[in-house]
Amino acid sequence: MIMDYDVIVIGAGLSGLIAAARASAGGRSVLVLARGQGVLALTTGCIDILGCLPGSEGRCLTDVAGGLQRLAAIDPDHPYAKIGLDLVQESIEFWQQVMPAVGYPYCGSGAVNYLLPTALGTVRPTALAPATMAGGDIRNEAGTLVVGWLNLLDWHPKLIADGINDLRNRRGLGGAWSSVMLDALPGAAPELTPVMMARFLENAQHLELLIAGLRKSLTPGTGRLGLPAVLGIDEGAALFRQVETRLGCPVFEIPAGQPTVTGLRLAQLLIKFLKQYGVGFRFNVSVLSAERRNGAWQVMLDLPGRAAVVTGGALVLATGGLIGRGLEADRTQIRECVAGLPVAGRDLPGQAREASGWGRDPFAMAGVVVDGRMRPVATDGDPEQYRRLFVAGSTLAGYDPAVGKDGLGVALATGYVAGNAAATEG
Amino acid sequence: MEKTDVLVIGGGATGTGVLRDLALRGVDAILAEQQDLAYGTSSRFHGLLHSGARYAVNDPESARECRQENAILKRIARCCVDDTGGLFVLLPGDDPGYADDWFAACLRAGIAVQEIPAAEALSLEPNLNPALKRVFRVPDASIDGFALVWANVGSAAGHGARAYTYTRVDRIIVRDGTVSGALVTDLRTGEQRQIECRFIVNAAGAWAGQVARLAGCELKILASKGSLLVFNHRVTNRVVNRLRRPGDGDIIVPQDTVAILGTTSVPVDGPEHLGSSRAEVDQLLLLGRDLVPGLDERRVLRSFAGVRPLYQENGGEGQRPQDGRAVARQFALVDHERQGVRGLITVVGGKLTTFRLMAEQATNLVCVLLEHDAPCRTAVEVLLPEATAAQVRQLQRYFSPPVSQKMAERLGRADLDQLLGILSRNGWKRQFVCECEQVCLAELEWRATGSSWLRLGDLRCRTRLGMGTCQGTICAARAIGQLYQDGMLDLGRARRLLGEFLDERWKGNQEVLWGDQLRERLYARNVYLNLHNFQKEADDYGL
Amino acid sequence: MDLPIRSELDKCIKCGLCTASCPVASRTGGFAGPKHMGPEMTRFRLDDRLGLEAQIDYCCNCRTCEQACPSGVKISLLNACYRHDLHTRQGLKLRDGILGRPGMMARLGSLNAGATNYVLNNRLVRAALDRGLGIARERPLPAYSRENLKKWFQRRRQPDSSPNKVVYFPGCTAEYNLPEIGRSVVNILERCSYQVILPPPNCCGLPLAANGFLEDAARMAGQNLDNLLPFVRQGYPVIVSCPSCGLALKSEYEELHNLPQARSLAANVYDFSEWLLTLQQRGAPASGFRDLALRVAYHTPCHLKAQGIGQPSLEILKKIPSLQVIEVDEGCCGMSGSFGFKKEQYRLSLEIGARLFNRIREIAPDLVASDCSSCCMQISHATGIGAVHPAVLIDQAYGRVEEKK
Repeated sequence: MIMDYDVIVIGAGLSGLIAAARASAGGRSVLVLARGQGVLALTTGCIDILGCLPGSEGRCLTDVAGGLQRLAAIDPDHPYAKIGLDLVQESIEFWQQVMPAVGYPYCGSGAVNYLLPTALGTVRPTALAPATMAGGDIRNEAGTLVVGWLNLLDWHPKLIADGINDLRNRRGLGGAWSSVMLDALPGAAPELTPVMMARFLENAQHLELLIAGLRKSLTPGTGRLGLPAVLGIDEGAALFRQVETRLGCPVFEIPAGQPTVTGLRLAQLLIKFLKQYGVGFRFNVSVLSAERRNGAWQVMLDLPGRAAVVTGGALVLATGGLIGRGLEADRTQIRECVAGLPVAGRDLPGQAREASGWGRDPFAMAGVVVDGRMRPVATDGDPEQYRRLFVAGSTLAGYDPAVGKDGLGVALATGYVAGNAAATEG
Repeated sequence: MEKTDVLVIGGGATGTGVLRDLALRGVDAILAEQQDLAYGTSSRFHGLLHSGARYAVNDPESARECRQENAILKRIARCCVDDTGGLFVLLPGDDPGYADDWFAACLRAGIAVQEIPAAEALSLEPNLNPALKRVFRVPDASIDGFALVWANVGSAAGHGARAYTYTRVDRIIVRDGTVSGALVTDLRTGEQRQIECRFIVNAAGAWAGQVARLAGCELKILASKGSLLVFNHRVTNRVVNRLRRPGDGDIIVPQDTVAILGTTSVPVDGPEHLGSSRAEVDQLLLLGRDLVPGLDERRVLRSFAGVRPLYQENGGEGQRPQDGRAVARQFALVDHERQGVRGLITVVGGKLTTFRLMAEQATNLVCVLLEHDAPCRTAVEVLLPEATAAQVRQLQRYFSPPVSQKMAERLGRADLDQLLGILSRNGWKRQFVCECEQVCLAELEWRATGSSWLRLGDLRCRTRLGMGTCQGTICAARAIGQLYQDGMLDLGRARRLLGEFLDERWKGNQEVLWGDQLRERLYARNVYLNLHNFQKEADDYGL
Repeated sequence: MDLPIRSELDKCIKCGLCTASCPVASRTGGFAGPKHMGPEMTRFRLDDRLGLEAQIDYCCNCRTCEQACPSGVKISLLNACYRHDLHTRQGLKLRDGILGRPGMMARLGSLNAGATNYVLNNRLVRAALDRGLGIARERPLPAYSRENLKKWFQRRRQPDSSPNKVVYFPGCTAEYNLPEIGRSVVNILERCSYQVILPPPNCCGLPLAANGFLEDAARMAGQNLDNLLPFVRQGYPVIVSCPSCGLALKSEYEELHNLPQARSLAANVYDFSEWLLTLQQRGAPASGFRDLALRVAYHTPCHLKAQGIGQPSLEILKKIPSLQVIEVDEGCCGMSGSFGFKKEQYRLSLEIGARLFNRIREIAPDLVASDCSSCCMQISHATGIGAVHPAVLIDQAYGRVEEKK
């Protein structure tokens, strides 16, 4: 049977995009089907490999490599444990090859974590950070000035500076952070979200105004400037470099508001890059179902007006979890929406369960169980029905990124493995 | 030592009603509330301002009281009442004979009831069960318990009364069989102090039995828990009652942007266990969809429960009613002199709709005992002056017409002046801190500086911050950030308040985690736990 | 209409992706964005005592928000209803009534196209339209063609009857303003051995709905269903060359107007390039392409994106030998049909498309290709570079020379 594509990927979040990139690099024709731009823009845009071990009560992990070893030992159901740490490492290397080509390089080796400030004045561990953020590590000794503008929403520089100083003091580092609040940039809207500000600054004249204002707030003690992540979206890190060069002072971004500029930037740049790289994309399509028939995957699309079918040799499900609606929960059950795969934690909604929100959450842990090659583990029926089907990202069971700080890391690793398997396995 | 004539214990509708009544009659009074105002039943109910129709058959006296008070509150408390009107709907399968009895009983109680054609009802409320048999219009309305209690205190303060929140009464001092004061603790500072007074009015609602015991008096209060569901939008624009003998899940009340479906009735031991169970949630949804088909598919934001304090005159002797509804909703006024304590009276029972009447009668008694001769003015004096048209126009310089209208209604004339003042000084404070309920930074600032508060939840009750779709996901961090930026919090408190607030919001949707509300919860976790790595407990991050 | 609105607004988790993607909201403080206007204000609107916000006029109906939404909220449905409510309560603008009825205006304008075009290009007339009606004077108005598509279709020698028939729904632009698009579509379809049927000229109704005239739009939709369904029942596909018409026929008739049988029409509606690509994939004469030595920048219109059919025109253009196609991929052009004509929106409309225009200037193509004539109009106006419908290029690649009239 003639197939439209070698590999069909459903979902344009990070796991889907990485699976598509990997399969495409493996010489396959790839189509990505997506309902929308995915929830990647609701993340920090950092590749968190592993930030907290289970049961460590919020302790920030700095030694990622050691942490992964420990995780694999204590948590065999975690996707990393299933993949094996070598492949996790390989996926990190893949990322570090791809991103310079995208024109939006990431810093970090993956072996240790940065400790980056958040918009709430807390600290967040992450292994790979975009160049625009990586300079913000709170352990750095430089005198740090956090800048805000009165009209910018979701940004409170004093809270950030004081919060980070508090953490630094606990570590015996001494407070080195301060903050300044500037008047609204002329011409900017009175209620400015970080995304709006980023769009505003994509205009060269507006960026000049910003640079002029920042220059005035620099003092001799300013070793670096902490800005909200507002330095443009479509231009990648270009505005960031411009600001840094023009000011002659290191600058770093802190993601603020929802969605984040750093998340949006990553999503848009990756998609644009993959398009140029030859990956096919179809947005605004809902997938009704996927079925293996006559040795191929038939994916039923719900287009405005009618249903349509595309066929592919292999299928990667990167449809997201409950937030991204790859999984859906009604009052009694959670189901996997495309292929009807078995879901671990299926009956949670109707059960008595503890979900305070703070610890590892049963709903976040629910999902599809796979083997080390991202193949669903069939609990019933014919295993043939899932042949050449691979699952990646938040659809998977066994991890809770809100607690483990391993969301995009798992997306990267599982997307990589799924894409690899889809490209190679017969 | 602080001195006053009357100490009122309990900051619910009744207590604040008594405080206002005393103040308007020129009696010096202090109110002490162990939590924030409206912490108890006054905010944990469906928000129905009864027309009396619901009680017409079972409890005609209550029905008449409701009818009168309904009319009075619509006149004096327009700031807290959304005069939606109400419908009673007879569904197929429900007893048609009851409808006739009910109609007659309404007429006897003087309630303005009017039958309307089914088609008209369905055009007014297109979501009602299309199979409905008969529909009657009644003057039910929706009332905001928080706003009412705050308006009472505001009005009382204007006449010299004082109200202390987070002030727990530890002991009632009785000398020679007569009340002489109370020992209270300010829960914010831990300081204990004495308030000297001649009379104490116990208006502690579900806690009234505990308060009476502080003076060594026995008071039997039966607690009946009612669970309710909050829907994401106004399911109907009018109060909708199911026309049958009052039971579970038969009232839908539109409240601002949401709708509340209630209630259940479960006997409980005391006022402190206010969760609703999953079984109650399921039961309510099942019943609610009889009135509005598909109601069980609509998004539920949270569930909550309140306790009806029901007074049993003869002690109740260990009995618990099977159904709290069987006990009359009329209130009781108890003078504890017959138990050997002079100067302590308890006012308990009743319902929010009749709070003013309860307060009036309690105050009458106090005035007799004080030999203070002054008429009650609470039924004629407007509670809170409404916003003027000029103020609304000024607001529209910053906000769109619907948002201005909501804000003006929420704030009233005096607070709106403050808000407009903040806006004219800092125009950027028009930014919304809560997008779902359209609460701006200026409103947050005014409530945070102009009133005494302890928790972010207290500001929520005064503004509606965090009461909408996202249940705090967007606004909690914004509010804390701004309060901190404005110098109103220190770092430790900022973190503590944020954790508490999210905890409280999340507990409320613990039993409604499915569909989009489950997605919302997971999204909120993504924002706070993941993006902000906010740790409620371990805030040193292991550093 | 009531229930769908309620279930739509319930889906929103307030993540703000829609507003972040909105081409209007991210560039002006005047518009709080799709989240606010859609799910947020709809909760307020359900309280029938409250007034309505006029901000909704900033929504250009491009539907980018719906593509961004991870919750599947049909924001455009909420907005269309909101706009309708607003206009019903506050009265409708004459200007919006005119912009909402391109077909009617075109029928009037085409009576004497030369005179109409002359008058509409007169500076005094434009000043009067600007002041009196609020139609931006800087905005070039589409010219009316002396010979509309229907006249041409009837005038020329009919090809031999074919058992394969398609219905072509040209919409207002290809009928009255740029009939060369329609001619190219007809030529290409005939070249693929189809006999083309033209239904009576009629507007799809989308501009009416976008301007708040929901009842009129529904009436228009009803007429089109009457015109097209008899053909659909005979198994003929309906081809559209305008993405907005396509979106109306494919989704609005059912979702917004809730018309019975809209679904059976929708299932048989194809965008022109979508259809041609399917034919080519089935082995139709892709081989017939001649060299076309041009450098072309391709822009995907928002309403084509909304159809979820990918980029069929781009795929076809890429097959034309010697034709160098570069995808622009910079989002909405800002025109959005009638939006960019409005005086208060004109500047904003150009700001929205600024990145797109800059990128096109960088590419410096011979021509821009885009399936939407409103995008073409905006791009030409902003960049001075000619913009055409891909069908015109494909037609040329198939070797057709525009006949002399």
